[in-house]
Amino acid sequence: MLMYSVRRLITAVFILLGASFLVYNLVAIAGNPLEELLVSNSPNKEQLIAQRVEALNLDVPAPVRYFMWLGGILGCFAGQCDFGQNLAGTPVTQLLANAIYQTLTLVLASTILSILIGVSLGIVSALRQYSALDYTVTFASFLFFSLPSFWIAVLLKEFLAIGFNDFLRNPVVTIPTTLLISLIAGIFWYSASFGKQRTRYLMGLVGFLLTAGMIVFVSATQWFLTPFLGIPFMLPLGLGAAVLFTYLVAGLRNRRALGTGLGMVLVGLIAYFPLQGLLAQATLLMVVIILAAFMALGWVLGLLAGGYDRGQGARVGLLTGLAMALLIIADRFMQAWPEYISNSRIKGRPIPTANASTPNLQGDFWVLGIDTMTHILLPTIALTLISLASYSRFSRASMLEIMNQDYIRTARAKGVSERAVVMKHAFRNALIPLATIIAMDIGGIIGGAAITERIFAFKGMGTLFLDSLAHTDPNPVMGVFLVTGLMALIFNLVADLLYSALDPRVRVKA
Amino acid sequence: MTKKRAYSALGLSAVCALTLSACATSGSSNNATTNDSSVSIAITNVFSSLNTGTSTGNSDTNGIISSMTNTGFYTVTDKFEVRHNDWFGTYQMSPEGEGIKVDYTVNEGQKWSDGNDIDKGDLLLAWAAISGHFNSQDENGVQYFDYAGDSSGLAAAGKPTTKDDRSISFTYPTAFADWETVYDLSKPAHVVAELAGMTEAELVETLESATPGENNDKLTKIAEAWNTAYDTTTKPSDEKLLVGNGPYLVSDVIENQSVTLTANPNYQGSTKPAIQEVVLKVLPDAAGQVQALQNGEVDAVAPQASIDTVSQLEGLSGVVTTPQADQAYDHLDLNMQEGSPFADANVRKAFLLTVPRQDIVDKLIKPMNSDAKVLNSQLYLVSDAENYAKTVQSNNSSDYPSNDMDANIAKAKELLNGQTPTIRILYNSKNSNRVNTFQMIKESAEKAGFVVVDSGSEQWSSMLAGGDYEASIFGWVSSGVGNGTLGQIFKSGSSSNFTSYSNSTVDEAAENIMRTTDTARIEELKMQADGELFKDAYGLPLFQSVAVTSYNENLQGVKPKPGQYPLTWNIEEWSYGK
Repeated sequence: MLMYSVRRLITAVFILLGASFLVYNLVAIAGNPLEELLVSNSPNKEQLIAQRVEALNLDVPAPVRYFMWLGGILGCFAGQCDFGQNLAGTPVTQLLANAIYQTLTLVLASTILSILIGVSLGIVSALRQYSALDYTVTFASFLFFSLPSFWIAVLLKEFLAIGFNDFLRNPVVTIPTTLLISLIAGIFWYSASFGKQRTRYLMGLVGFLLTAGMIVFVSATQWFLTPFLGIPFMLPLGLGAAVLFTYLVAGLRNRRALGTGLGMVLVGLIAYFPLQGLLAQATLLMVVIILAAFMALGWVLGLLAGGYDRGQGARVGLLTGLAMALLIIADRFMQAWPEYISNSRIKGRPIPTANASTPNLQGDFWVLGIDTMTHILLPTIALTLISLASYSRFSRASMLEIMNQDYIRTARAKGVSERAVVMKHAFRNALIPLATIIAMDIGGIIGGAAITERIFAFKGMGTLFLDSLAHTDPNPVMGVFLVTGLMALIFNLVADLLYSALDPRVRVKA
Repeated sequence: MTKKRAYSALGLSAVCALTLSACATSGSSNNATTNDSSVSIAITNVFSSLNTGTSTGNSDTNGIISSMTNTGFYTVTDKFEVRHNDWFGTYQMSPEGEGIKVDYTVNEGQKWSDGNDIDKGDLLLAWAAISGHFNSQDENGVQYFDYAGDSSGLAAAGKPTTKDDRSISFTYPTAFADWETVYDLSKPAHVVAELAGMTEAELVETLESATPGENNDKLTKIAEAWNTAYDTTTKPSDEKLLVGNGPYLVSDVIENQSVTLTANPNYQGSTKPAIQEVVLKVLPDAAGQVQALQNGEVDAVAPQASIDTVSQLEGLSGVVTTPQADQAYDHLDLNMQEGSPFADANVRKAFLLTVPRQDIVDKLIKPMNSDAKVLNSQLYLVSDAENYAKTVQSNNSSDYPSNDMDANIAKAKELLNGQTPTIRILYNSKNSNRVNTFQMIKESAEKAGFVVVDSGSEQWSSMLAGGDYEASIFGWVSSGVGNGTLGQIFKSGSSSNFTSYSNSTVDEAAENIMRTTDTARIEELKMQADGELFKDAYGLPLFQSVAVTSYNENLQGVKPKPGQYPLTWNIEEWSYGK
């Protein structure tokens, strides 16, 4: 396997060399860097042209210029990296560092969300193939997939940012609006539910009542101005999480696992109060440690609970612990919300339409955290909606294939419970082909999301690439290409290795 | 057994609690200053340098920031008048022999924001950078200051003289029309000297003693500092770089996102800025700028105008939206080189008569700017108010009316006398306005018997100089001040004269206009040339593009200006009027 990896890496070097030569020359012929100057009527036109020719070495033919550029890159091995500069004289390394950071802020959350949501939707719709739920999910994911991102972005800005901010001035929903929204929600619940007609009507009704209740509650308590979770919300949400995780991981008959989950809910609720003092002085590191601590505590609690299958209990404990920690942190963010809205920089309009942060905003970890979240909210929603389809379709197809395998039938014939069939035998195997897709997608994250970045004014890899290409500015384009190309090759290799590790039928031959 | 479990759980919790308290913040800094007096302006491009004079730093965003942080002898107003900043210093022109002498004096007590006097060193450094005096004439010779602007005017003056510590004088060998706008203060010399590793006295000595075109280590260091030390995309760690003398100083930069400027407490201008803080936010997308304005994230925008953008802005409440004629204008040029059908003046006239200019303006520009009119001068724009009105009277543009196209086409047919010349029109096929203009011209010209061929291309700019076309549609940008463009575009053999146009009256006017300081004479020469251009059927100006600005109605004192720095040129006069 080592030999295999080494061999793959060596070929990767040659691929990169060839591809970079191609890309460099393509960039060079993609446009004329002198365009704006050639048609200028400024009195010092010739001087400006001479300066640009000098800056970009335009007097040297592009294939030769490539080797001048390559010389700078190869300097990396001698400890003297030179990726060159862009037209404004900024070093490409600095441009890349900033662009990668911006892209990661923008794309990371949406990638994780779309994997989680997409895969779950895919699995659920596969389990209820050809049901109304399946059709609804398929329809919705294809609808989102086919929407142009700039259009989604404009709509989100109009309704979720400007509309919501206007709404916050007097956050009361009128009765007709409440009824209308609840009705739509009810219809969605009805069409997404499955089973007997009576159950579906019932689900629709539940959806209607639940939504209406939520809207009334939110209106009455002015929840959007002073949001809170507190014990009244954390208890039912925590219990729900504990039961759900126990059901998925261990089955409700595993009483010890259920006990662990419920125990963690109790631990979370008790820890809620002493933690408040500590959270007032939070740092990112502390939040991470709290999450890790709750997960560890849940794991240990599960092991201590013992029993026939302690591992299951431990996993339930871990997941419930995570859920409780997230609830506590979400609650703390909500406590900081009124302070954020009333900040003089925010002026009561918390959801921005563009940029990555509010300049000159002063505040503690929570206020600054909210600021980052409000800024990535809209782009994250846009990107998640668009990329849901590929994950849900892949996982649905993969799950359907697995569910028709002989060993699933055998497992059922043995009398294994449906939960164990789905979670143990089918789900895990369905994830194998997905692993390769996810590995490659993660490699592709660095490439950025050009249109979304531009519309939301994030200067990430995508905009860096497009802007530089538009100015026929080769160095930044090549920088972006090198980074994304390298990531693609590495994650391709990772995907292959992962596949062979996950599926023993696939062997990597050295 | 259960005891042991309980103990380990307890131990684990204790460890957790300890680690957590170890990573708390030492103390929260919660000194949020309530800042009602802050204004936020959208900009399109990212910030990359504090020195907008260099060829790398020469961008609109850097220019906006420079114009707010550095002030000098003059300001170009929204009416394109050169306003002398008398609070800063004075400069006047006096005849001297064949030529003129311009004396600049900085007022006593003028200081940079760090308290250093504005003196001889600063004046000399600005001259060295702008004039390119020390650069070798030889292409491969030594080059010092990498100045992006036009050096030729000031270079002609040669080495300046300095009477005392606060003045500088330039002697031009001939009278020079643009004497008012060729020279202004640049970067602080004491800072550049320090960046170059020397004292200000050494810098002054170097600039006074160095020989042009010869290697000089100290001068190289000074030029290097001026050229590159100000390039930064973040807030520089070296506070010296932020020293300026304008109404505002850069106080914070978020890379590629925003630049914050705070009022300069030591600003000595006559109007002290009323607004304490200006935040420039990078928003590349025009629709994004509109929505950011609507959401109150920015208080003023000047996006690229399009029918969508303008109508969206006009639909917003609580803002003042001003569409106005921009300094950029589209025009149709005819290629008169030998062999072209347009070598014949009658064919040129016939073709120009078929151009439906009124129609083009009505369809493309009126939806954005209801005041838009057909542009009737090659050398003046609507912003030149009186001079424009005057030139239109005398420049023969009335030969090409476009209200009654049927009459025009009949006249064109007459001039063509049965010929059917083939006209290839070059234009930017990616620019929808140009595509539409082409279609309308084609339709109309074909009625008169012309055969119009679509030569639109994305590579139009490279093809412009080749002359492999009969007509071209593209745009020029007028700077509003200065008279260099007449020669640059219309003089025989000049580098922006793509049509082989040659007219001795125009050539002479282009030469003479630069050699006079008499404003009446300048306008006379310009109007004369303008008349010749229409008489020769050079081509036709079509319309001025639209510039749009929109700002929060609570802001007072905003005077949108077409062209560069549409909002910020008078930012020290802004205030919140509530």
